[in-house]
Formats: sequence, C-alpha cells, structure tokens
Amino acid sequence: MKFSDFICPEAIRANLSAEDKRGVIEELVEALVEAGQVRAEDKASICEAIMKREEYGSTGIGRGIAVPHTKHPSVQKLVGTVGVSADGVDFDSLDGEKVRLFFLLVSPPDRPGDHLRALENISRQVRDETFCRFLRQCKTVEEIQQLLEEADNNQFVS
Amino acid sequence: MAERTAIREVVVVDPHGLHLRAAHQLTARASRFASRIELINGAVRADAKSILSVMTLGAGLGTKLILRAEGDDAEEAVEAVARWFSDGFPEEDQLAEDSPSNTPPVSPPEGHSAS
Repeated sequence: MKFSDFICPEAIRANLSAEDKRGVIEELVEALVEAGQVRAEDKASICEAIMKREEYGSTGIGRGIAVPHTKHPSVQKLVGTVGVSADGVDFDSLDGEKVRLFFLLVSPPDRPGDHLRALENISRQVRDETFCRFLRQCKTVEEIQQLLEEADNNQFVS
Repeated sequence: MAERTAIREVVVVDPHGLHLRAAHQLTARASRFASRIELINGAVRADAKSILSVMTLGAGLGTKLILRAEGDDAEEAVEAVARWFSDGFPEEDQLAEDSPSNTPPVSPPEGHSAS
C-alpha cells in the first residue's frame, strides 16, 4: 500500500496549530471533514474514539512520530491524513519525545487488513531518517504532497 | 563459543492482525530478553524489540512468521514470544503472573464528557 492509497491530499496540514493531544486530533479530523472524507456530524464521535484508543496506550511510537487511529463505522474505506507540527506536541509518546509528525487513520471496522497495510507503509517510510527530516522541514501542503509522492516512488526506501 | 539460536514458526491468530498495540506489547516482552530476536515475514525481517520495525511486517490474521532468537536466553525468548502469539496477543494485565511487580495503576473513570 502507498500513501496515495489512503492519505487524502486535501486533508494534509503543514502547520498544525494545536498544542495538545486532543487539539491535534481534532485539527486533523476537522481536516478530513473539510476534505469531504468524513461527515461533520461524525467528527465528535471519531475524535472520542481516537482519544479512547490513546488511553490504551499512546500511538506516539517514538522518534517524534504518532499514528493516532480508530475504526469507525461511518467510513466506507480507510482514510488518512498527515500533519506536521513545528513545535511538537506532548503526546505521551513511548520515548517521551514531543511529536512533530502525525499520521491519522480512520478505518472501517471490517477492514483490519487495510489498516495494517497502511501502518506497514508508514512504518517503512518513517524508519528512514531522511524522509522524516524532509517531512519535518515541509512548510506547505504542496511540499508534503510532493514528499509523499516521492516516498511512494521509492525515493527513500530501497 | 557459538551463540545459542532458537527458531520457531508462529502464526497470527488475532483477527486484527499484529496491530500497533500488539506490536507494543511484543516489543515490551521481547525486550526482557538479552537475545537478539527477529520476526521474519518473507523478505521482511523485523527486530522484535523495535515497534517501528515490527510494524513493517504488516502481519494480518493467519500470517506465518519465523521467530528467531540468538543469544544466551534464545530458547526462553522464543518460548515466551511464541506463547504470546499462540495465546492471541494477551495484554500485560491479563498475564499478571509474568511480572508480579508490575501492577498498572487503575484509575476509576471520572465520567467526564469532554466536548
């Protein structure tokens, strides 16, 4: 699976303004609403579900990266977005580091395979420090879109 | 002196596959052992002590993985990790006997409804 299979380009956010965990999640889910990927009336429910998931253990997997996610019956296919925070957000990460790179996923309850393949793709890409450094440096949505496209074309992972 | 090596095949029996939370549990378990522990899915080899590495396996329900440990406690490591797979990724608090000193704090829900 590639970024282009699940990341909605219109929902990407280059300069997250939120300063805490809930704020970032709401900002990214709102981005999915504005991009037409989830319905506005489902936003609160999706945010709650993602926060609930965080209670079981932070999805801040270290190295300044978090993958907040949930299953939600309101989506018909896996939808995701990417957000970059310039200052970083305290996300209760496994390594205690602030998170600057967010990959938020909402998947249909009956498609665990797609969710795993998205996580597999994200993990594979973010293991490359060059990719992460470039992503942190992105100042605009267009730069992020281009970087994800390059990653999809195997520019970072051999 | 040659290092001890242990190898076993494990199967993902959780319907959700080796998801992120399970991967975290796995790394916590694997990290208790000194041995180098790997999981292999075809051409993909993952360090069982690294959550990012484990997630690159993309292991869904029914996926067969090679579990391989190298080191003085290789057999114990493979035994523990293989059991965790066959038990369907039990969470830490379901295996209290594994770590009697580890009693996670249980705070009662405060019944807040954040808007």
